Amino acid sequence: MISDPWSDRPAWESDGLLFDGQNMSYSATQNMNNIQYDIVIVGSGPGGAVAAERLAQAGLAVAIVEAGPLMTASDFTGSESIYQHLYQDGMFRATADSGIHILQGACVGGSATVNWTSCFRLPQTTAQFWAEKYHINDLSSQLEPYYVELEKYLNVKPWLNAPNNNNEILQKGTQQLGWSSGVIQRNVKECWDLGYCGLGCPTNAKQSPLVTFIPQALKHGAHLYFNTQVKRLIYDKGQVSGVYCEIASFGKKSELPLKARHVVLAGGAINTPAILMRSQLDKLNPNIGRRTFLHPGAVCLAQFDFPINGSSGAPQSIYSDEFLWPDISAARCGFKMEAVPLQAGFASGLLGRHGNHQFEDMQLLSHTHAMISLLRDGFETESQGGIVQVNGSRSIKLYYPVSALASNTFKFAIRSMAQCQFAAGAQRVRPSHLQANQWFASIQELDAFLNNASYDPARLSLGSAHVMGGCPMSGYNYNDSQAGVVDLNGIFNQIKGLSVADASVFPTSLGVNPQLTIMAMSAMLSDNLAKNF
Amino acid sequence: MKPRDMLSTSGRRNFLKRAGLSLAGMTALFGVTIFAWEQGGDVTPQSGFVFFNDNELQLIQWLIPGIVWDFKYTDSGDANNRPIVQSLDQHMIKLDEGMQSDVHLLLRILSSQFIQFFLGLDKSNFVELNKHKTSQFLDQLRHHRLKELRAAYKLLIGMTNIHYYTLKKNWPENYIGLPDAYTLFLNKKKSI
Repeated sequence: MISDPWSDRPAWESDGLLFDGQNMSYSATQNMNNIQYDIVIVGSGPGGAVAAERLAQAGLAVAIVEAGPLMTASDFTGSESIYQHLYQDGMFRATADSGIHILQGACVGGSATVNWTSCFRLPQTTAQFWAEKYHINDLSSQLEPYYVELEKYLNVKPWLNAPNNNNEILQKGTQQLGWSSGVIQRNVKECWDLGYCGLGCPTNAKQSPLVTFIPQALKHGAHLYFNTQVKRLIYDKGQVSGVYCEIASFGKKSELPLKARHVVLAGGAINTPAILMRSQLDKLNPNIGRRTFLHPGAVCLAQFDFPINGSSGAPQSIYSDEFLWPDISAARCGFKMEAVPLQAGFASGLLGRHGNHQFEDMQLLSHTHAMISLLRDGFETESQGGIVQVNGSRSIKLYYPVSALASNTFKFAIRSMAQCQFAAGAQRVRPSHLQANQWFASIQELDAFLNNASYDPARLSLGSAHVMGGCPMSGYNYNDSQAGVVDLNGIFNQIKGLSVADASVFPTSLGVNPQLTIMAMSAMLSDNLAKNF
Repeated sequence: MKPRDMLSTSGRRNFLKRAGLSLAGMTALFGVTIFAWEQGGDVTPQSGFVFFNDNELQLIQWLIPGIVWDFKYTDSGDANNRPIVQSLDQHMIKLDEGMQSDVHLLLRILSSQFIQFFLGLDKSNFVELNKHKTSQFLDQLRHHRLKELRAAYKLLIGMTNIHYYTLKKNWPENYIGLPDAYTLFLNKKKSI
């Protein structure tokens, strides 16, 4: 087992809100009025954590503010009851119409603490699209040294162990059909192959920010505030001077202002625009919260006559990009195919249904396979993403319309996943869809269903684990019609002392799992910020 | 719109469309126009728990056996249901305040006979529902023409199913759970 950087973590003092690397206290925050940080980083996920390490290493006084709890390997016991502590909205974050279920981390380390460790670089085609459409030029070459550094640091390597059955089905099916597939790179070291990555790594094998960037940042003097939610920015006369935080402790909430010369927002692609909106900055830039992308995914389940045990083994080790970059004449978006782990609680959500059908489906869980197709959104005219809206300080809503083009893609994707599952020996398949009352024993039976099914997200069960956009980067000047929210350095130019360093700066989705690119982008933006500070 | 028009299918649909076609919109509108007088300080987070109102707690308790058809649950009022409800309470506190409010209003709406009639749902009194009837009621939600109710179905069964199967005693047969090697390691670590 990898040594635990948090093993010397001091015992809790109350809820343990401030951690300076040696001491952890709530009371210390009561006398914080005179502390001035150089940089306050909002969010400790892959964007915020990388920024914290680099900026602290550059000698700046850094505070990381995380709304969620600090949970480490000793808390990760494999029990699914932990979901409610690790994910946004207790794992029930969803689009405003509840059509798309969104899995997003809500703890120290953010989504990288709970993701399935898949690492991809920015696809060349995506970089080219951004260059043409948003004047973000030479991004791949600029990110190259950061990818090299991060891949070494996080031990990102292709998973060369045998894939678990859940992934092997994907590999076998694509091979049978002559489709492309590849081995996923994972950020793990001495991995036990347990398969519980989505519940936090119990052995610290996952090289997430929780065991890498954040402990390093603390060593360089950064402070970590957790269970501390940033509500809005403090600014005056065009200059940001800090953030207002809300601390929940002993069942009551108190406000904590933190002063800073510069604020880096890295709360994720829903919370970051929401903070800007609560701070009324959408009045200066109406693009805030627009063009939010999800990689929305349809799921297809299959039952086999041999055990799959989809809860065990590396959750994702095989992918297929066979349909990721379709010809424009295909009249659909591209999508990536990956496997989905099947822990009992999580699987019950994917299987849906109720009553005896649900009970019977669950009895066959050990023989059940699950695959997801991640729709690459933001590239087509019909695919403009969603809009984030805030309701006072109470709640955040993401409105995400599903276009006819997307519906067409989901239909094709479900059929493709089923084809793959049948090619690998599935006995029957069932899309995760409210109208699918039965399992289908052949592709013809499935076709009959798909041709008459509705693709309204309130019927088709869609999920997302990759939230991107909402504060898009653009090479155009901010008053240009093609402008985004931040410039090529991640700087919000309508006010001084503010930048963004998370997935919200992506002008479209990536078409691949985003964590590695979020980290590389944040590293690049943070180095530029440190140079010019 | 005249009140009698609201009883027709198209009238109901138009009414709901005007309400904003979102769960939040629908619940908020009903909450304000129909149940405003009922609102008060009765949904109060205390000690980390959200306490449901009696009728909401009852609704959840009656729905659970229909959602997860575990034959060990012969009596839907069984005290064995209680841990699941507590788990849901713990879960609810993690939802943002807007979502908590939506869920509570949704439960209130679903437990109202008038609204059941208004939405064309089963008119039985919930306290009389058995597993068969709760299943039937959930089927109605699952295939309801209003997407808000289909969304409500997904939310209700999602929350209860996940929490039900979180408990090891409810795991299906042949489900392997966390590998033995790690469980042994974990137990050893705990005993040190």
